[in-house]
Amino acid sequence: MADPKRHLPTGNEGPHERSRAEIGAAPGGPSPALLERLLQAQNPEQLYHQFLLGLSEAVPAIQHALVLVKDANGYFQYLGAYGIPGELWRGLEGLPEAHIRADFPPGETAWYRGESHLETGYHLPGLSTFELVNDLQALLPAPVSQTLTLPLLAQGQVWALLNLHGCELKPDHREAVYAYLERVIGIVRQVHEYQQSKRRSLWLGAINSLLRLPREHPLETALQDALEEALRLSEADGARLVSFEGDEVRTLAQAGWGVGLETPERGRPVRALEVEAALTRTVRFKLSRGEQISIPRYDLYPDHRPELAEAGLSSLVALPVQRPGVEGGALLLFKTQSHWLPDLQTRELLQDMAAAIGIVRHERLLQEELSWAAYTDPLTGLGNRRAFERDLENLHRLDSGRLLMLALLDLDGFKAINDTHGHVHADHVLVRLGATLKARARAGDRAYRLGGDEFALIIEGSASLDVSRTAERYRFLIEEIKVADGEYLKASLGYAVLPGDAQDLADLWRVADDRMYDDKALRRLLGGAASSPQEARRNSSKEPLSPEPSTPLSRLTTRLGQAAGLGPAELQALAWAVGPAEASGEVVTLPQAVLREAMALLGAQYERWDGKGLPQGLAGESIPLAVRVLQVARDYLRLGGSAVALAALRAEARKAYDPRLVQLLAQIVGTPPDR
Amino acid sequence: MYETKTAHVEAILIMDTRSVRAGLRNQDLAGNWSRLYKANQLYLDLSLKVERGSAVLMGQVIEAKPLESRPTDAKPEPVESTLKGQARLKTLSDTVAAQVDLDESGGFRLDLPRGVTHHLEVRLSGLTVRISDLTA
Repeated sequence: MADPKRHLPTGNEGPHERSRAEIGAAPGGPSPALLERLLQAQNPEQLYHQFLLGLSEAVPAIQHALVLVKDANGYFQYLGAYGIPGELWRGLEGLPEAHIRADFPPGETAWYRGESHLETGYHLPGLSTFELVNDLQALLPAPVSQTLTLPLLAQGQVWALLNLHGCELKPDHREAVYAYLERVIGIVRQVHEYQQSKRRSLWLGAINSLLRLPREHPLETALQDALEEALRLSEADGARLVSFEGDEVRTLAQAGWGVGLETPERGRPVRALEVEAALTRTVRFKLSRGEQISIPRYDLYPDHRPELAEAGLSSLVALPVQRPGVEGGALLLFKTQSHWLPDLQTRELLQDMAAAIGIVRHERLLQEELSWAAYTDPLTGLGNRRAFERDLENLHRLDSGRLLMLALLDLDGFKAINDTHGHVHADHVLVRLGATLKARARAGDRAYRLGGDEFALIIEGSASLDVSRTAERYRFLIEEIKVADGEYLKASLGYAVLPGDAQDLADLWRVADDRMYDDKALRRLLGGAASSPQEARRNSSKEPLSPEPSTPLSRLTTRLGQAAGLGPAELQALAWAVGPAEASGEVVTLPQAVLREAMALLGAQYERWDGKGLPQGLAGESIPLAVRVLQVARDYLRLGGSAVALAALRAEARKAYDPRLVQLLAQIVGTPPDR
Repeated sequence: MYETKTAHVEAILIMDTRSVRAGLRNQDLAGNWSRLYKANQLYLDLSLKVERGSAVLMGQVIEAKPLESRPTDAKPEPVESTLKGQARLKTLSDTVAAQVDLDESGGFRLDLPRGVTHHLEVRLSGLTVRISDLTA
């Protein structure tokens, strides 16, 4: 039967009612205690529970009550109950307004006019035709003889539905209900709107927090935080953040339902549930066009995955995470409850969150690209000088206690390669060099192109690191690179270690640099740096840095040294060791390495084959071969350079001299050197 | 001819798709949309396009066939020609505001007045599919 009380004042219907409903200002409003309880509610459920509790206090005849509030999608959601256990109503799916309206006995006109309706027995409009709810009446904990249903109006629309049950709801009971609503409902609606605004503010806070992400904060952590916030605020059960990489879907972050969920397969072991499988080709196509997709009935979706539906996936929302110029990804939200469709405001906020994720990811990508460009040599892909200086300083600052080795490599004759083969060819050589160093560098070693044809290696190692062998290995790698037929790269090398060769970074760099230039000078002198016959000729035409073998001693040492198998560097050092002593007094600036080698030879010239010499008492072949050559040639000439001198040397062979060299000398002087 | 032996079915919303364009998000989310409904063994593909203050509701009845089995950009397959019928827009007071016949592909097009809630009824032989509360 229709209740005589119609057009319920909701306190929010028009300007007059709205002003009456101002918090704390409406005469005859809620009691201060109730008002405080309403204002302290943290969420809609608490709010509507207090609202119904106040109603039950005002009208004790009401035994059970339900309140449903319309969301932005036109569904009336269960937001509060009184006298009904939570497990009976929480999680129930919302009812479409059309269902309730069609099942409202007084009809649609009465619905839109907000007319209340009293009837015998239990009846909640919409339930009788709603497929997922059987019969709430059977579940009610006490008998119900009458139901009073009240559509609550605001701005011409029914925004909430009140469903009250009692054994007998007499006219004075109903009057008390209306009076209570007059006093309270306006405030309830305002608090509800305030809670929604607060929720929106939380959303915006989460989005702003993501957009203000500090550079040093790990992106992965921020995305996980954002996803969990989206999950919480959207009230979904599970969430995923994925990126599309070709046909692959890569999960960047995941939270809630579906994480670690397993689904059994017939006759096979359980396997992890891949919720991302819900992203069918059709869904991905729509996402790629920048469309957001909501699937409130996943089980009815034509391309649903049965295993996901069986596992409990009932509703799905997918939002595009777009990145300019590249394939993006998606923010996915899942619900195990059917008909879940976040309201428009929530979907807008979700889309803002997805957009913020896209922006932050894109920004990080740009940062990485900029960082890569700032610290990478574009031609070789090796670190550039900036990266070299940064890494060197970082390693030194960290002070791991390990040996820090700096090796500098300078390509010999690279200008000739440019001139002979052209810049394109020369660039390709450098590209191959970069690839070789990247592919074959020892784990942890770092290679850089400092500019032009200069390269550097930063190597960390234990105290037992064989620095010479390590550095030479890299030179070997470089000198394996082919420039043209029969022509290979050549490199001068200098290295230094910290601690040991230097006290600080500047010193380390300087020592390695000096040694590299010494090496380069020596190689140039020896023609070893010549990578082509043309360059060798150019080198030979330069002013010689080597003393001409114009003295008997220098000529004899050269000849004996060659016969004994000395290498070019040793011969050069030997020439300088004997050269200045007999030179014309002209001041010559020697390369450091050559000078060191020459000094070492001279310093060891009084060692003896039998180990009784000075200064170190070296014996046999522990005496450098060049020194032994010098000893034999020097004393042969000092003793007159005759057969007698040779005999004297033979007598001292195995004592003062290397017997093999004495024998070689005998062979040489049998054909007297060119004097 | 449809009034007597006709079953009335409220269509179930299965999928809602909205375009998201930077800068026009609010307008797009509340404006243009595409929806897929299911009613018995039929799908109803609806889309709303709002242009220059007017709104057009376009729909097509399609057979219940997985979307994945056809190219993503292909048109839905038309309903069988035996399923001829009409699409009606009704006001909340159940007055018919507009009515068109389905074309040979099961499609229709109706102007939807802005800011007014309507119901859509697609009346086929023996079946009336209803979609409530459409607002442009």
